[in-house]
Amino acid sequence: MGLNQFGLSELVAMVKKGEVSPLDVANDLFSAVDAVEPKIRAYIEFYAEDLLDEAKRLTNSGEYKSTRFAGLPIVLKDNITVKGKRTTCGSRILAGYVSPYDATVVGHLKRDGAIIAGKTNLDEFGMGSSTENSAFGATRNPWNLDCVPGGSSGGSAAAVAAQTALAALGSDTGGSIRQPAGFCGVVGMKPTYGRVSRYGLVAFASSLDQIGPITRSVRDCALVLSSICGRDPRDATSLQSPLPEFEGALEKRREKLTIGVPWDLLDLGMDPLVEANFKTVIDALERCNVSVVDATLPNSKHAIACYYTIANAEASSNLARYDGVRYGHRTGTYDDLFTMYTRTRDEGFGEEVKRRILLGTYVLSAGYYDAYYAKAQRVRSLVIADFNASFDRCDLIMVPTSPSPAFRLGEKTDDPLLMYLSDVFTIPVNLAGLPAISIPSGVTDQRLPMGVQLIGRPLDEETVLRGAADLEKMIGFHGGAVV
Amino acid sequence: MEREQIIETMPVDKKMITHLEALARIELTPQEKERLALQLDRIITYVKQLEQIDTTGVEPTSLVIHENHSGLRPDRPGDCIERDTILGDAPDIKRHLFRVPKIIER
Repeated sequence: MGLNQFGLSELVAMVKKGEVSPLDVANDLFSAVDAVEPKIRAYIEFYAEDLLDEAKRLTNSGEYKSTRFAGLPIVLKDNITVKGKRTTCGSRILAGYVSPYDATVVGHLKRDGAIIAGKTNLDEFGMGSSTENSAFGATRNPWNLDCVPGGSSGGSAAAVAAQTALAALGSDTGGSIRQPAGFCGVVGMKPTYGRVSRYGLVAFASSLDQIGPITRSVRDCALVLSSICGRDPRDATSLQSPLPEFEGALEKRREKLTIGVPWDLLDLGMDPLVEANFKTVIDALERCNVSVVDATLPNSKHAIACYYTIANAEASSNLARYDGVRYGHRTGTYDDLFTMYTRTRDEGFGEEVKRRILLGTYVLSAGYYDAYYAKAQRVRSLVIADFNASFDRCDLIMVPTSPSPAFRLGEKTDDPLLMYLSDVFTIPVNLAGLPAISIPSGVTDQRLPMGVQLIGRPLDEETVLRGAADLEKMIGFHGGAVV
Repeated sequence: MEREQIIETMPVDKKMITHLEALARIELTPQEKERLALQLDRIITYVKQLEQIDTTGVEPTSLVIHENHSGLRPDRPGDCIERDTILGDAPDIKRHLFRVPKIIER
């Protein structure tokens, strides 16, 4: 049995006790990647040499013992920059681009003794729900190779589930951490908007993007979260609020939690297997020390329409920077500047990205701005007000992570709107900037995992993690896909 | 009312796509254009459900910041990335400048 089968916090404890070394872990992880990666294709790049060299150096010097991650590897979605490494965002348009700086989260992970071991696959620029929209090909779900791992952080979730990563970072604009975590049977958390600096995260929709952990347990999630949060002068949206000790929160004696279930949102429909699983979770909660109450989020049924207006408007603006002048791909044939721009962008962007840029351009263009973009911003206020009202009556809100388990590759690629609708339970959370976690809640008889999502008040990651840890224990899901 | 009429009379057709291509600086192939016109029209039709929601007196939200802070930092010079490192990523440079096709006629 390889050490890669243990979770991150277990391994940190084993390494600190001297039972195993960072090099032992690195060797086992490398072997696992070698064996499994051809089937899953979770990575765009695995830094085997860096990992083994750095693990050897740390093991010999012994300087890993006092750090949070004790010289263990963590991997990143490939829209997060590492100095001297390629950042592709799953796009042809960034061909040849080498990042001249570390993202703030990368600085935090390194400070805490983690080795950055690779970059994982994603839907191009984070635009997608299946990791099929990548210029580097699709990633497979480790539970069933004919199914998608979800997206857009599908590579991160698949690697953690396939035990070819101990923990990963993803980014979540409309569910891109939580949905793939749900599809792959692992834990994924989107912190409160502003908790984690986005300096070095390639921007998709700036009022919604947030970085977060994908791990095999709630404890591992808390460990990674403790490292990456905090105010950063380089990201004006990052928050100054004091940081709780997230791992400590798991141990605290707890008062009875009240969990609200927004039935009006769930009435929009879901797979009967997901519904049955969700009701099982509610029944179990009621038998434990939790009271389950009705909540209501009446405007969240418009969240998808609201989201695809706002996110695409922001994306069309953010992606204007890819013009073939300063970095990345430039077309080979052009007579003038305009043609250089238009051909570069046609060749460099995939179809979904073009679709979203054009949609964003449409809703921001003269004559439509008020009708679409400004209207969506008002609807966003209504979605937020619903959450505020619900949190008067409960500590957490619970919904399934996705309306269905993982779908098959190619199943939704011809119908973008159908793909968008699969984000119905995750998108309202981004519009409101709230913290939320997805944890595994069971598997279907076809052996596909399902996830349940807990949503918390702003800045209350502690209660989210506490609730998730209780639920995790109660559900007793022992994850890990067999590839 | 006037606003809604404008929307009704302007479907996302190939002419509209050509307009958007120019605004977004993207050149599509004829096949892409055909397909995207249909898909965008369908998505915009879905998004139009927003029209039916009463938002009278509701303020727009552009950003959700859950604490009171200005986000500003002191205006002090700091370390920055070396010029040559930045230029190393460029597809075409001349000396220390990004090179693009001529935009001013003599």
